[in-house]
Amino acid sequence: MAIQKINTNEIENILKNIDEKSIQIKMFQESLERINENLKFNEKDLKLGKISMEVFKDIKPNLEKEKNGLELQIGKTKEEIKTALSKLNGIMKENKI
Amino acid sequence: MINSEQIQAYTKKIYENVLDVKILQEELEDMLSAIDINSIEYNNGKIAKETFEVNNKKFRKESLDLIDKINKLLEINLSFISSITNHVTYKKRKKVKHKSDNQKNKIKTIVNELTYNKRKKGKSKHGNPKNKHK
Repeated sequence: MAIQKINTNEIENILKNIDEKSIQIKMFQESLERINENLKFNEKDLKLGKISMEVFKDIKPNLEKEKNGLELQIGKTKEEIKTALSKLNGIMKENKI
Repeated sequence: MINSEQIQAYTKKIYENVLDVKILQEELEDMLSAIDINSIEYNNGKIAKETFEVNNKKFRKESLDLIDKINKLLEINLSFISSITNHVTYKKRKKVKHKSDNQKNKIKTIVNELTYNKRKKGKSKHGNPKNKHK
């Protein structure tokens, strides 16, 4: 008698994908932390008179642009993980007897 | 910050469980075949009714145990999946002051007010003891 068996290859690929994406998110988050620190330093330096307003205005938009980009990428990657998890969830439920 | 190491630990456990599920599913398949063969052999008169019943009971029990094990492993995997989802969607929560704290503070205020009023009343009733002697 044949019964439906779990597809280990498919699950292995989904899990690898989740692992990779979680590492990516961690890297993005680390970069985001650094950018946030740089933004703080930039403001502090301006207050302390270490940099001019011109330099401050030159640095800030670039950092903020980078920050927004990273936040978008983190959001996108999280959504991709959630989709993979949802698929995995379906496979587990499908194999219940 | 996402805990990628924790997520990888979960995915590793999920995969290990999936491999076990596959082995158990193969065992279940064999057990279901054994049930079929047992019935066929009995119907063809190859085995006695007693033997058929003993085998049937044993195979069915083993099948149910296997199904139980498979379902448990899948259930564990579902809980791991849920844990990963929580890791991914984790957000810092604002500390909310509990209602009970507010209520405690209200009670404290009321008690303070009451004791203050009591003292005030007590003083006005008996008056100032220094004045009495005068």
